[in-house]
Amino acid sequence: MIRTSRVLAAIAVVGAMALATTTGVASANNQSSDHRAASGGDITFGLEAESNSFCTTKAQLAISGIQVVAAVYDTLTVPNDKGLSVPYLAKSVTPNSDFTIWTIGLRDGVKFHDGSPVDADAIKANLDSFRGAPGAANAGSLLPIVLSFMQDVTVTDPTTVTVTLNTPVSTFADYLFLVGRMGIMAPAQLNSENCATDLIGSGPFKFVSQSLNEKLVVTKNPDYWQKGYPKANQITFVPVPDSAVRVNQLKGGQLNMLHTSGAVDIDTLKNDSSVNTLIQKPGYREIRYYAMLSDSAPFNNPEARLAFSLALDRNKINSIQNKGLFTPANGLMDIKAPGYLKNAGYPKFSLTKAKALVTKVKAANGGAFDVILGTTTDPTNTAEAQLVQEQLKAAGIEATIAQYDQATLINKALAGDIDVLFWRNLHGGYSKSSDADNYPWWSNYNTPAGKKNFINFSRFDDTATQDALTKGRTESTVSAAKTTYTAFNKAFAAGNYILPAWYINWTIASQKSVSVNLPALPDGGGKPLFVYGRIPVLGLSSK
Amino acid sequence: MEDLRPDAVPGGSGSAMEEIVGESINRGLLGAPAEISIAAIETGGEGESSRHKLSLGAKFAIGWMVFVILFAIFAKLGIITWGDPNESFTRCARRGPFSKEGSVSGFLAGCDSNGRNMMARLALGAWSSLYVAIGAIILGFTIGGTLGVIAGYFGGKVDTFLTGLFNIFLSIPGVVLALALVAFLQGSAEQAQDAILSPELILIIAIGVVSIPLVGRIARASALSWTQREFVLAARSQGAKHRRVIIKEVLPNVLPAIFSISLLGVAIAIVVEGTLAILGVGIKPPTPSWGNIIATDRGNLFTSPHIVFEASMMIFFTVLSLNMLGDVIRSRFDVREGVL
Repeated sequence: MIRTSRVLAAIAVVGAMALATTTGVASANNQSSDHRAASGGDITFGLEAESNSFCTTKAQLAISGIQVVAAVYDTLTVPNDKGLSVPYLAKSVTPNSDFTIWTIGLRDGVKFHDGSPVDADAIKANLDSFRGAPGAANAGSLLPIVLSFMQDVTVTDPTTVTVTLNTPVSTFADYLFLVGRMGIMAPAQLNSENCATDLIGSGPFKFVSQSLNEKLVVTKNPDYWQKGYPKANQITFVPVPDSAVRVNQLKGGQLNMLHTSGAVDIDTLKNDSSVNTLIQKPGYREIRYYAMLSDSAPFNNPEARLAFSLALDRNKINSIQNKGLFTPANGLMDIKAPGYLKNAGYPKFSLTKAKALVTKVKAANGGAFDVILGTTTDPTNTAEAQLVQEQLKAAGIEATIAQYDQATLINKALAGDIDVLFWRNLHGGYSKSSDADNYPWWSNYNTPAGKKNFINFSRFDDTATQDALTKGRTESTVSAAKTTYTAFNKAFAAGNYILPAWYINWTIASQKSVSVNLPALPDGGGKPLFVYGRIPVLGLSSK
Repeated sequence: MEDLRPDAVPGGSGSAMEEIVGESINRGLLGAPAEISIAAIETGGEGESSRHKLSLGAKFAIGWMVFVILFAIFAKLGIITWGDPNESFTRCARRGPFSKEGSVSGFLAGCDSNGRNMMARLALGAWSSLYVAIGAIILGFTIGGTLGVIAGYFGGKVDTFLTGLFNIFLSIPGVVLALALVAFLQGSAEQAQDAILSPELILIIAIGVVSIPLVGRIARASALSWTQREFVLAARSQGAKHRRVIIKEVLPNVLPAIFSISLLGVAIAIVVEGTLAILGVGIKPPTPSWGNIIATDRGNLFTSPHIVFEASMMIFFTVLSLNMLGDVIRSRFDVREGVL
């Protein structure tokens, strides 16, 4: 039986990794890297949801929260547009020969917003909390499972931290970004009872105030370690959950910027001459999929999962729901990620075959094949759920739509209450490996240590996929990673635990008065990666 | 016991008609409408017939309601259909008379964002919306009307208690109260896995409860007025039991007022159902209602305005018609604002 405390604790972290997850590279339509670009101005940024905790070691951060994290905190590494995790707040991140010991070098003179130094002690304290070391302040409970390979963190000198792993992990630098949520907090925040609300980072903007469900205000950090940045004087983040309302508010001038993943909204925005858009291109996009709960009836029967997959005409759903603007997905990874396959082996729509299987499943299940479809209350999700419901009905599967706000949906998913979970997530990883975006999500539900992997929402145990994941995180070359994750992608498709639907092209839209300048990463790290709905904000400015 | 009143229904023939004419004279003597009132006396039957003559608006209202009710019933019974209201057509998604891309042949009212025939959904939506609204008002009519008549007839502590109860409920914003009730009832039904308490029934109860104090106040005011009338006092003085006096003497006179306000109540209930749908607690998709058609496609207001526009027009004309019919009934039965 799942302990309530564990479930609740898992909720704290899963949001960030769940609805928020990263995406691959995108090229910026109007990006520039000129540090002499326009500066100043106040920007109002429309987010798709509210976040009520920014204690990064245990916060429930979806994409909206991660966007705020990008303003207030820095991460030790960031991905560049080549799909490589490069040092950012860290000066260097270096492995030993077998990837079991990683040395993190820090920059001199960098300070948190309260004036305290970003030194080895602060980094050790953060990493210990992230991995849930005994006695660590404000540790969560899900991230320690994700980072369970971190055995020890030691301070070598004031600017050097050494991390020892209990298994070789060649992708450790990816985990120091982990979808943008590994924001480094000042010790004063990390050790505080008010860790969730008193934000003290080293990022380009300082936290000013938050009125829940209204706005979160940050102001320019004049002592930021990247000279010449940030450009804007102030950013006000405003939660506007309804994407259509968000678009209208941008057009109406209440917002200066927004992020969105809705195809119709993106189509509207890109055809509007009064706004600029930054649309993510193929490479490392996240995918929309339907996750089936595989540890209980009806989907503990593989034929039921196959029947579900055969019953859905995903191309039709994509055509109607997204005007055909999104590319259909038939695998976990996008085209630049190791393991990408045009079709990993997911079944094509066949109503005849689906009906035959449904009959079989019903016969084995006392005549019933009823499922609950779980999604959020966004109107576009309502419409999509109705399409799915109708197609399932045609095959003989009775589906009930259950809609919740984001946090409740996550609770339900963690508790195993939803047969079919409408989910959006990144499983592409970066160019070097697909480990960090797959291992936490798809390693077996029942772990060898006897714990449960709650974020495996399909709740399956599969030897083939687990073996591939375990091998994948030790691969040291791109070609080896490609081979291993291709095998993983195929094995995963064979299990039919999820049904991929389409790739999502996240989009940032802004008024013409806003200058979207994406500066190059420090120390020749390359151009920054536009990760799903998260945009680096240090280069933004407004007239 | 013999009914002492020649004609219990005002607006009928005999002494009740004389009473109305008499009042017209009095109002004429005191104010401007004198000529009209005198003319009414002089013309006699003509005055009565002109009062009963339906205005153009009333004719439209009756016509529209007949159309909507038949539209709904035929769709529900499958007598006239426009296809499966839940079948999706890719080529038709978001297209309609007012959309940028224009209509698709065979879909007179276009399609919604899922490519479903709007005509079929509006027709079945009419059934859902009217079913919930009428059901809710019947509930309010029955409970609110009964409590109101009891309060008005007995007066005293009973009146104080029931009026206080009405006031408490009226002090809570209707939509908020309905929302809370739906949330509570849905939660209870889920916990109990209660198949009897369907989503539609939950809405009927929630909106019905909201309408109870409204109908109750009207019924109470009307009953209070009629209870003071001579024929009621006479009946009571002759020893008639309360139950008989209420049913035989008071209720027939109160009913027109309640019925008139109930038509308005149906209109309000349709709007409340739509509001609840937009708040995510209305009739559950894919079953269409006018409210959830608007709720589901409110995001497409600028790209495919026909979806929200058509459902809104159905609500608009229905609410307008019910208001007009309420006015007709009020004037027919002389339910005066002063009494209300």
